[in-house]
Amino acid sequence: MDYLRKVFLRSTVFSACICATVSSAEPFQNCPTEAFLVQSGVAKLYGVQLATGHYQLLSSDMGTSSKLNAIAFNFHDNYLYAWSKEFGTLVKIGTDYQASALETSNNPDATFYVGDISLEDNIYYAYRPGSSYGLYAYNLDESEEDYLRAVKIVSGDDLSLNIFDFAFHPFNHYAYSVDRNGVLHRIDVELGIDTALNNVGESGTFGAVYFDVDGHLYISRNSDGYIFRVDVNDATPLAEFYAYGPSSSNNDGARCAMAPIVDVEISNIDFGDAPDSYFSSLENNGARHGLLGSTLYLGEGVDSESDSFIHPLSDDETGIDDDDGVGFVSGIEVGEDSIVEVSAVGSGFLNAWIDWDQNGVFDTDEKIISGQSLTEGNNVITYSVPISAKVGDTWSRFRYSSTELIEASGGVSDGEVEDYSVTVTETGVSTVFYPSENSWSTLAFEDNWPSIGDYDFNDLVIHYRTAISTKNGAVRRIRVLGQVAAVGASYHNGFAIHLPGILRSQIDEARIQFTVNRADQAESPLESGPSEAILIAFLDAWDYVTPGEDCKYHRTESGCGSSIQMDFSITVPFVNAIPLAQMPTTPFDPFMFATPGKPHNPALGNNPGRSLEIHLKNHAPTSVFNIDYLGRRDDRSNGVQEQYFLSENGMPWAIHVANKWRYPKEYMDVIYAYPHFQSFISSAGGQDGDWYLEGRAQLQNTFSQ
Amino acid sequence: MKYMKRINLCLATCILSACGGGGGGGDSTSEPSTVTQVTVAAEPSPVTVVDEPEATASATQEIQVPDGFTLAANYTVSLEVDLESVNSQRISLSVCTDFSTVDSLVSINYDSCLLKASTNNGLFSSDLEVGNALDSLILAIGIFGESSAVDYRIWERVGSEPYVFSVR
Repeated sequence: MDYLRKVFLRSTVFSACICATVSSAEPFQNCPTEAFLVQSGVAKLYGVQLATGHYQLLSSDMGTSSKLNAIAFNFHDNYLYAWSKEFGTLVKIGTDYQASALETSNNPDATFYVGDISLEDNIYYAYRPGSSYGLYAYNLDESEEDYLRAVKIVSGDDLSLNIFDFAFHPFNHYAYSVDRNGVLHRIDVELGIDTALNNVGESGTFGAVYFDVDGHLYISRNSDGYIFRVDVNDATPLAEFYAYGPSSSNNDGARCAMAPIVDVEISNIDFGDAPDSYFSSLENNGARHGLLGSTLYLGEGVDSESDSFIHPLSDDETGIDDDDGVGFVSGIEVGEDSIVEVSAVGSGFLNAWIDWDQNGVFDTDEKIISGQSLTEGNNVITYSVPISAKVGDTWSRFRYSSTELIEASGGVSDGEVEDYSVTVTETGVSTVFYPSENSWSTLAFEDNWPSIGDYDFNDLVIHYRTAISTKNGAVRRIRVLGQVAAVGASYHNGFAIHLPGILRSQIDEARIQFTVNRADQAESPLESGPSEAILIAFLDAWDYVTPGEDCKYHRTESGCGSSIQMDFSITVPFVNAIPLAQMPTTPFDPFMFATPGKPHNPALGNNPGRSLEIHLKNHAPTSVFNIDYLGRRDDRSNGVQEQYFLSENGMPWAIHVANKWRYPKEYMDVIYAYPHFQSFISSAGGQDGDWYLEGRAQLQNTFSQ
Repeated sequence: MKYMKRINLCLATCILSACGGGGGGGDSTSEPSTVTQVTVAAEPSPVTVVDEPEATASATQEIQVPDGFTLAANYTVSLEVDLESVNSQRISLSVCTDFSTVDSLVSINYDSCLLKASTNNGLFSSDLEVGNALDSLILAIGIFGESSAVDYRIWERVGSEPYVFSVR
């Protein structure tokens, strides 16, 4: 940052200082993020949040009966300066918003409406086109000889620009503006030379222009209030729509160019949280809504952020789920109508998009709801799914605000944006989910089989859910999703899903979709070798997760919390649809196995690898399992009676519960975390079927972040 | 994803599905499962407070599991929809677990849905796996048209398997 570099004007001798009326008001806070906008025939001052276009009246009485123009924020003293039509001179404005006239001298006979203050030198530059005017400098440094004396830099004949405001770049000492025709200008204020850069693609009267600390120029169009962002450092700078701001026939703006566009210490904006290709983050001009004074939102509330929590770091996963206003009543089937119910607070307008072609962008023709007026309460809305929609997962965005027609990105002054991951299916396809479309069940393993372990059921913990897609009574595909929730074991373990009764040859392997941490995997999860269908989610959990600092395991010990580090998704289409009666019921046959080449229970010899499997109780092992292991140590499997992976007392080495389970912490026997586990078992499930819920737990004995 | 829907009050409770015997224990009174066209919780149900049972085993290793009990986490509900006489056009069907009905308002968390389906003739059936801790389901019926609407049916678990969620 060389903005403090002293610059010497090439002007001639300056006259002595003329004393000024000093404002008694306090300066503004150090370099505020909000912009200032002055409007109206009798000046009114507004504060503008450029990120959203939200504005609020700061003062309707600025101590003048006429216009203020050419307003500028002075980085050197944190006061506003402007040109007063009533006083015919510069005025200084502090936190009382009162315009105090300064005793300038050598003024041309002009009312300026273009002006700003350089960040390098404490000099106010004012401009007006025309042969009688031009570009002038007013030194604001009281210690300088030319303090408040107008110094003409260049005549309006030599610098003829059709501009209505300009702003100084935070670092390069050039002033920039966009003229009525959309041409971006860079002005060397010391030499009075203009360089026309290129046409930014938007035209009109840009009465207020601002910079931020990243060198983005913001231009506000008087006619519609639209705020555009221009990256002046780009080879061919273009205007990007940024926010819906206030419109006015008389506009002039000022801002501290050293301030970021959003103060990270202040959270008063709602952002979308879809992947950033959909324009969610602030940097990427993401969809965002101002919350200051806003009374519009969807569902039961809206939370505030200083930037987007991009999926999968969505605050809906990690904090309060405020994406709660849109209910997908029906599935989304290609070529059919679909229904959403939208719960609105306050009367406004809904605009919504679904990325039908799954190209990662909400294209203009993917707008499903446009300017739909909603009333407070529940609103049933039908939209059409195009015949061209691509089957599979995609994203949707719903934006609610008082502005009728808005785009999928950019800021708006009020309301809320909610992003949802959705799944498009073929016409007539029904999908059965377990435990539901967007919740988890849990698989918890003791990995010391065939020896009884400590029953903390956290040696390997998998969050798990399934979806079965059916048409005309036959299964077209299944999907399993999982997360590694915990690894409380030193042994190295893998995880797989067996589809009992289904052959691997019945699976259309080439069309399997397999992702790990949302990245497509090149290798097929379908295990080669055995004839049955076995899907290998991972060979070794420790390849994907790490213990916490000073921790031995992953997410099982007190003080060893971390975020989920591994998730997977496997979508398995079938060559020919499988009759529903032949399909195994959910959760299918999930199991853990020993990582090949890694040691395990000594009772099984050296490195049993895939020959060791641990299944849910009475789920038969696959053909890869070494059946010689059955019956060793504490295992009492009996293949003839179809009893597998149970102890003398009938206890399993793996359990499955139908929620995102708070499993026991390390070395904690499950019955001390969940006392009703015993009565659930003793009653053969007749009692305490809800034993696994948090409300039935001794939470101090469970793992928590 | 939650929403609130005001619905007309209708207290006609239809007992439409039968219970079976045996299975994994349950209420010995074996009352049938119920389907409620519209359910409104006008008064809160009385709460019976019981002492929390203590685990008598000192370790899970000591627990004796009844023969054949697999500790299954879920049970099966058969959804049987026959709205052929009511709806001759396409309707959508969503069965969800997280919902509330308070003061004639229905609120559904659509993230909790077990089923998303549609039918062109009003007929549909499917087995649903439901977590043991859940005792009720709601079916949201999307009716397409110039003025689309959503209707609801609620099922409550009573008795023992087999459970049938019958909608007519």
